[in-house]
Amino acid sequence: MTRRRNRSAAAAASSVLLGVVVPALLLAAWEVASRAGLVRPNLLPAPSMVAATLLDLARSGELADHVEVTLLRVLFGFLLGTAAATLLGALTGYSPLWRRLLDPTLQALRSIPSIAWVPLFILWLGIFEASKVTLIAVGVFFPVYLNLMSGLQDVDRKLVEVGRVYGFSGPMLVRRVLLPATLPAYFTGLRGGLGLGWMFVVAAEFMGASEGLGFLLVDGQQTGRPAVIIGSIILFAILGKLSDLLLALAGRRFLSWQDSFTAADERNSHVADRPRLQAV
Amino acid sequence: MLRIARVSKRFDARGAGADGGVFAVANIDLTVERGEIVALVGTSGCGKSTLLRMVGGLETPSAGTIDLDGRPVAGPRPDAGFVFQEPRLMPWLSVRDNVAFGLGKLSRAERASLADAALDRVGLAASAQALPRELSGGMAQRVALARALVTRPSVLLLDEPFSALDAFTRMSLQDHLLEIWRDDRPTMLFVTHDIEEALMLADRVVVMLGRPGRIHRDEPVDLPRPRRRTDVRVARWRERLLDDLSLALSEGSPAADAVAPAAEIADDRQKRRVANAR
Repeated sequence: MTRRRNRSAAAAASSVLLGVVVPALLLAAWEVASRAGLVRPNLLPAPSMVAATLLDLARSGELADHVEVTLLRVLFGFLLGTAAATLLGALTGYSPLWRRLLDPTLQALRSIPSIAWVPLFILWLGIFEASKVTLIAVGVFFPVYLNLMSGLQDVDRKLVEVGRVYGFSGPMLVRRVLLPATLPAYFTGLRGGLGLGWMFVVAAEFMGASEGLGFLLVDGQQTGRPAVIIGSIILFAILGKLSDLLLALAGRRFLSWQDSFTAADERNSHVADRPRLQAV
Repeated sequence: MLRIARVSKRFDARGAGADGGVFAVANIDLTVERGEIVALVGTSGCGKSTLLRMVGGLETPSAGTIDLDGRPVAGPRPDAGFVFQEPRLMPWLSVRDNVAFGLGKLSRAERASLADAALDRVGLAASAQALPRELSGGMAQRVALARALVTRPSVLLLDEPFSALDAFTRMSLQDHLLEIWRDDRPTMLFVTHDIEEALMLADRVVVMLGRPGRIHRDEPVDLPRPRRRTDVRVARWRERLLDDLSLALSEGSPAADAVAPAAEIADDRQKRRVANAR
């Protein structure tokens, strides 16, 4: 058992190392090209300069503020969008009447490109936090809503019948059968929603923010500091990956019973699944 | 005691008027004594599963009444355990929690000890911690049996419980079911399309035929227990039942191991006959 775990850990580590080879080579080539004067530093600064800029920002405490503001926006937008999607998705997934009543409207709203809401949200909610959080929430809403609704609809009718045999109905049936059976689809929706949340926070912070990583991007462009832009992009990548990893770990905890989830994971720990989640 | 009186079931056909719809079973009268094992055998589509589901409270009769121990069946109830054709285990629950699924408000420790006792009865005490995906088909169906037994129901309803299993697993589970029955003698009503299974297990065989299904034969199986699958008397019974199921017995009648396919052929013939009659 221990030996097998060691071996799979070693395999995972070696595959992470392999994945690092190409980026490391690219970084080295980039650095060398910059130092040799092959690329213009005002367009593409060397990696070492990006790192130095980030360090400077971090030391002054400015970076922590921007990161905190962006994280909070994503968090509140995610919570708001998830709450609405969970409520409506549960209603339309559970009851055909509610589905016929609400789903056509929501599907119609879904076909609006979400960024198109920006002017209206600013008009309604002002340029401060409310409009930004709302935009992010809209982005988070649809993946969560759609996955929850279809997850509920797809629950094996035969399992529901077992619940009925034991006299479960209403909330009891939801808690004992529907909820656990829907959890895999729900987590898929949450992860998709979080990904869109990160996409939309950039859009939201483009529209007149004075703080946040998105603001830092715009600021870097306007003040001609490409190192700041590249640094912000890298931070977005890291934060997005980390938050997704947290959700994936939570999901793994709840969904370890799944045939495909753990079983495939354990079997292929050295191939596909684990490195994707581990290489941050 | 289970009493089924003049029960009919009509399924409403889509778009049919008030007198439309399809009768699954018509005018069924059947009484099962306490502790009796009754097999419902019949051609496919004769409504035997529908009848069982009505007894279990999963369907409501269109007409007639079903009483279980003197109380009318108005829905699923704890004194009737149900075993489906498939195990239908909750994949997110351990074997123990699956067995405890139907237990009402009890403490965690009580639930666990009752579940473990039920698992012990089906010979799976060692697998209490396992997840359903780790079980073989036969093991999963035994867990389903334990889940039905854990509430100590007075009636056990089984809907083709072993039909999805291979022949050897099926035989061992049939023997196992009889052992369990010997312990606290629940009334057992089971649907099967396997004539041999009916003859090995049942005190009484009820043959249902036609659409809508009606009872064609209702007779005690007067064979001493333990029964052997190779017994001549079992073979004689089997011929009679196959005859019922409209299989004309040709010379070189089916070998003992070809019973289930033979029953299916009978099914097809019956279907064709019904179709022609219309």
